[in-house]
Amino acid sequence: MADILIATVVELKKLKRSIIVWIVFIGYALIPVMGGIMMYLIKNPNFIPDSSILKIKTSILSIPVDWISYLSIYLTQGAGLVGIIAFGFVASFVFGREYSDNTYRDLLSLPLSRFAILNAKYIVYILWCIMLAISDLILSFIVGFILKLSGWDFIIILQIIGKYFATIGLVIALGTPISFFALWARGYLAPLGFLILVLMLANFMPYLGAGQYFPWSIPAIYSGMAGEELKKGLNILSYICFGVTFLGGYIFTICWWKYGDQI
Amino acid sequence: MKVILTQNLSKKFKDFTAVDDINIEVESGEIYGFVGLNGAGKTTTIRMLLGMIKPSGGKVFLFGQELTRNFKYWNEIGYLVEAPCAYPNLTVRENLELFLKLRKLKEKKFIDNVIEKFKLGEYQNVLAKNLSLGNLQRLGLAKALIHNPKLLILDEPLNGLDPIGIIEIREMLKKFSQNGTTIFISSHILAELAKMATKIGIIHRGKLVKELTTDQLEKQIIKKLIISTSNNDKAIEILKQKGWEPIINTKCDIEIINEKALSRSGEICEFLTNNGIPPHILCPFEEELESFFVRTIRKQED
Repeated sequence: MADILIATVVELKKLKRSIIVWIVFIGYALIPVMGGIMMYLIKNPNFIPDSSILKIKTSILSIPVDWISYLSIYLTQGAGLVGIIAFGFVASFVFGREYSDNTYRDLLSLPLSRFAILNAKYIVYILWCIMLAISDLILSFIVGFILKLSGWDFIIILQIIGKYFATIGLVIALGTPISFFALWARGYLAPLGFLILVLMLANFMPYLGAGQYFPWSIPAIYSGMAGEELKKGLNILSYICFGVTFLGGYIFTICWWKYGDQI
Repeated sequence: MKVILTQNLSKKFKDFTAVDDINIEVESGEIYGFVGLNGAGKTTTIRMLLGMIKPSGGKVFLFGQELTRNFKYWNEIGYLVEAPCAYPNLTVRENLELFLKLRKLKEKKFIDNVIEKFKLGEYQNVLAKNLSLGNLQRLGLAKALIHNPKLLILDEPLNGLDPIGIIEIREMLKKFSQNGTTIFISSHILAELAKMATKIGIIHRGKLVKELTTDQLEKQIIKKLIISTSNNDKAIEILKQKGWEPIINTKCDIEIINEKALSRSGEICEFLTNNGIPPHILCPFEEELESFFVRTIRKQED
């Protein structure tokens, strides 16, 4: 445990002056900001030019402009999709950076175990994702108060926040296969390529009726983004598929780092 | 005490044999120069010594303990494998601090000592990404030596260093060796290796083709006296009469391949002069490691 703590401190220090941290925070902040803009435009349709797609969209969407819609649709559902991209990027960076910085060899023959170093990376990944989630939640409240959204109901909002963090938890768990690809392919590119592939499949699988069994579709379905009907389709097998992906990613990553040839 | 011992160490990558049954022994305090062409298997061997890749066969023992997953002596070992690297957004000092933490050490004096030793003082607050290759190399060596290891494994540590830097590092490594640190070093700068190594191992196509101490190397390298006179044919004749075994080389100069000829070059000069053919070239030649290495490799290929 002490080894993991030391390695975690080291991992956190590596982020010092890292511009990637700020890029991810700014990118992820687009969810509440863009959600806020949409809310504002729905509230004030006169501001949208006639030729804009938004004009059609806002008329089709007919979303009520209130706290519940804003937090459940833009924040929680946004986390189910944009979260996969942002957290996938974080995992690619945390696990792939040693190869792009060429520092991975420095971590291999030490009194600190490889297992501790890898788990420290997972801790930093989880902390980073949680910080992103919290920062977006705070930003959402700021945007909501600026927009003077109506319909504040503390209990319902608390339930939405609970669902938001549950969605975040699901998305964070999907970082383990990304971490494996970062180590296996030694860098950022392969995990980002894998991320693009699974995102495409995550959008395609629900069309085949298999979305509830595809791990990367599950957070969006759980968040309600794909509709209540699909959400009801989530069953024990869905969560088994999800769990196998999460655990498989973790075990493969550990085994590769511990037992694979580090050329 | 054998600090490094390998027994039939081999590594295969699918059908390609990178390292083939290598047996190396390095005693405490030795500087072992590991020489080979690109792709000969040097780096693969070094990575196996450091547990970075798993041997396909054979065993590695460091400090008498077999290198397994439970190996306990990592803090006795410092290493630099291939290109030096550091976290680009951290300063030299911050990089060293991280490395000290990774070694579970706390004393800041380790950092100050190594910064002083490697003359990194004026760069200690410079980001690693802004360092020159030479200073990055110093930082890499500083990381390898920060904890005063008993065994230092270095793969091409002289790359990127300017001539003065090379001399400084050579002298520093010699000093470490004199203080009991065992050094296993690979380098393509053979002249430098020859100046510091106490034992040389030549690896070719994955096999250790020659292993010899500096004393043995001294005996095996070619030592000859090159002579040129106004009448080389006559000079050869009278030198033969005197008991020497001169030959004509490709440049039509006379060569006496005999260590004694070097120490008796004055006598030979006087002898030729007294016989009316004074030499206008009288040049002692001692083969360098580079040439010895090429000769060994060629012999192996034949």
